[in-house]
Amino acid sequence: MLRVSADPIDAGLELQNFERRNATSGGIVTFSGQVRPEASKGGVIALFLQAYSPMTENGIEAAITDAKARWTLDDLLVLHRIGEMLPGETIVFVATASKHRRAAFEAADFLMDYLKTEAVFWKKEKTETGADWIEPRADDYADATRWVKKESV
Amino acid sequence: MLDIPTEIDTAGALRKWLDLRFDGSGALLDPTIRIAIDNEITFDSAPLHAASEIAFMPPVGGG
Repeated sequence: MLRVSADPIDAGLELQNFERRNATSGGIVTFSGQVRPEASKGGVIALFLQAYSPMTENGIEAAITDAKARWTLDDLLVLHRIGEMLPGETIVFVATASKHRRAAFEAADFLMDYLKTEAVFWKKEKTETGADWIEPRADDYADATRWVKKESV
Repeated sequence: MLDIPTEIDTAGALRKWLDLRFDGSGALLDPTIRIAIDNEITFDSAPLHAASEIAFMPPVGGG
C-alpha cells in the first residue's frame, strides 16, 4: 500500500497497525526517515517536498511491484509526506512483512534506495540563510546501484 | 492551458518555443530539464498530441 500525503506520519501507530494486520508474519521491518535538523548551510528551519501526481505515485508503485517480485513478502507499506515539515518530523515510513527477516530487511532497504534517488520529489531546505532546492547525495546514488549489480551477478 | 501553434509538433520544438515566448533565457533548454507528456518522461523527439498535459521537470531531489 502507498500513501503520499501532507498529513503527519505517526510511525508508532503505523507500526502497531501493520503488526496487527500481519500477525502471522514471522518478521516485520520498518524504517522511519526524519527531517534532519542540520543542512550544509546551517540549521534547518523547515523542509518542503513537492510531488507531481500521479507520476510520483506511479513510480513508487512500480518500485513496490519490483520489490514484491524480488522478495516473498506478506505485506508492504510506503508512506511519504509532502508539503512543509519541521526537523524531527517523519518524512517517510516503510514497513515490510515476511515469513523470514532477510526478505523483509532487503525489501525495505531496496524501497528506501528507490525513494531517496529516483522517486519524483523535489526538496527545498529552508535555513537561516535562505531556501535551496537540493539534489540526492552521491552516497544515495551509490546505495541505489547496489541493486543493479545484484541483478547482473 | 495554452494553445500551441500546429507547427510545434514535438516536445523539443515546444521546449524552444516556450523558452522564447516566455523569455526563459535558455532555462528550458537545459538538457537536465526532462519533459513529461501525460505523466510519462519522453525525449525531445516525442510527438505532441492534442490536449496533452506537458510538464518540464528539473532533476528530481529524491525523498
